[in-house]
Amino acid sequence: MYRTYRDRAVFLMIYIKEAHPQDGWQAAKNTKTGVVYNQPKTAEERGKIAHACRTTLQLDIPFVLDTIDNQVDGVYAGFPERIYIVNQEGRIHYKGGIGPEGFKPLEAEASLKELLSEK
Amino acid sequence: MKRKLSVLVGACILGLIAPLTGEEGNGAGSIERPPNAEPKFEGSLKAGDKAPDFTLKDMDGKEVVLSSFRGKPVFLIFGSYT
Repeated sequence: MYRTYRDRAVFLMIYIKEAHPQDGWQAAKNTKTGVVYNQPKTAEERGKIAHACRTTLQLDIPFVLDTIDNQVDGVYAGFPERIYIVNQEGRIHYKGGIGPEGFKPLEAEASLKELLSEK
Repeated sequence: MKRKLSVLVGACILGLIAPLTGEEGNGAGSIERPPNAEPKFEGSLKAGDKAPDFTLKDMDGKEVVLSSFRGKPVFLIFGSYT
């Protein structure tokens, strides 16, 4: 989706606190795949995990790191995963549901298409 | 009642509550808070609201400001590796 629309929209992955850290609610599937990290306590630690995520999953979407005290997540309620689309005027056009159940990229893509067709 | 308590404890373990308490911190970056911010899992933002501006650092340490993208749609994905 990023590659399809990146010339017409800005994409940002906001890297927030870990959903399943080793020192929290560790997920069995992450243990099996070696995705094992403690909840970062510093911005540097969060950056290292984000870097591992980006390179391992070969993501080319731009990443930004939430503050270590989770300020942006706190306001946007992004945890554990959620999609927003902000329109050209800076207003929220789409707010997805809470992931994983409510995380619906295809629904968000349809909303983005609608927004782009309005212009 | 017991089930509700279990759900609440589970939410605490997941760390779902901490970011919603509105604590101010000293991390790099900043965020404006809407006046109607409420401590809910769903958050108080809804379609049509002004998107709270924020300044965060990218992977190279460069500051990224949401409002600087005005004029283009911005697709925000919140998430983590785990």
